[in-house]
Amino acid sequence: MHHGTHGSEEEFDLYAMGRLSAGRTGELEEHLLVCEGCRLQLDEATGYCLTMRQELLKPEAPGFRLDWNWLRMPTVAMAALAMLVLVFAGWFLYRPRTPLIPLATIQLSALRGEMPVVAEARETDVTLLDAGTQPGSAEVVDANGGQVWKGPLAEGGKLRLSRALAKGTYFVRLYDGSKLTREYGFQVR
Amino acid sequence: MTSTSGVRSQAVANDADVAEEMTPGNTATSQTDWAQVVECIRQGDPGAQEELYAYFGTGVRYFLLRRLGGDELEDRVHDIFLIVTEAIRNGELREPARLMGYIRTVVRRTIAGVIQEKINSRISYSDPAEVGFSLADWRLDPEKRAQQEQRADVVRRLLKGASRRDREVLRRFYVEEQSQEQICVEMRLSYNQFRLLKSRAKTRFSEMARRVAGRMGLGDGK
Repeated sequence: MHHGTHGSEEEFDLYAMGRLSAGRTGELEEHLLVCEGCRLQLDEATGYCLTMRQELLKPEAPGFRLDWNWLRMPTVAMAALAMLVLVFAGWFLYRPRTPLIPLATIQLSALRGEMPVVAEARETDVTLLDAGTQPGSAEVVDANGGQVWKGPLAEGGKLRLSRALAKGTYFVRLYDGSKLTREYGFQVR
Repeated sequence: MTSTSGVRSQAVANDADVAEEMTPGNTATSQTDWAQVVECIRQGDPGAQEELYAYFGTGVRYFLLRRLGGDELEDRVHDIFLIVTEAIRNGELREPARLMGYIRTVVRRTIAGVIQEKINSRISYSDPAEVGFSLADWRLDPEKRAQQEQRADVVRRLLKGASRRDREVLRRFYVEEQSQEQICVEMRLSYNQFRLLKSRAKTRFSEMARRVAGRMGLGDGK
């Protein structure tokens, strides 16, 4: 005498809802008479189906409801990822930084020694202590030799860099005509 | 008169089959020679009746509890076995191999009879509320009610997290009782997608229920 096979999850759901075919219902019920494991599974399926039905019958809570299912589409997911990368890059490039102080001052000497340091600022006043009184022109270059500023040297060896300098090493070069006469170094930190 | 111990010795003929088909709570096996048990009962062997009761008692009780609740449970179980043994003695069970099917039929008839009786008695009442009796009441004692509330809470959370489409599929299946073929066609789903969706929801339900039950100390959350 064969006692039938165990029911499947699908069959327990259908049985719990009274939708299993008559033939299979008979077989399953005969099996349930003798199988404790299947009885437990049927109880679980019955509880689940009844509760699911009751809750689904209730109207959905009003209000805005986001449906993220469309994100599962590959093209949409790729586009969303690209957008995310762009937004991050934009934020990285234009991220807010610590506000700069309006003006920093530094005095430089052509003597060799430790390189003077000045804080980052929107403008920097540079005084060349041993520039003498001769008029001339000056140039500020960065560590790679890229020109940052160029203009006439004011009286007293002063010059004002009216733009913010990024952190790094800079050099001030003094010219007499086209001849380089002195060079000063400083760092912005 | 044949002793039932002989039946039992034949019953444990194949341990592998037993392990596959039966659970530890059951004493008989798929190899039980029901023809012999039926013959013993026919001859009035009380041991055979006991064996029958021991093997099917839990299952019969399960169906009665499931459909009728605990009222008069033991009396009904007793009545069912009385009907079965009487039928055997009177030679009404022509094919002993169909014993299990016969027991199932008697259980179904008993359940149908009780339900019909309840419906009739409810109709005869002037105030139906006085009857205080419904199919749902039979199943929900206070403990089960608490479990039901917990289940409802878990399902609510599960549905809240489901997409509109998933919810629609579940609604069609559990509420509108549409066939899976119809749902698959109308929702443009393959059978596997449908099955996966349903199974995923159920697995998620079980996990959430287990977590909640663990927090509340309610056992396994079933």
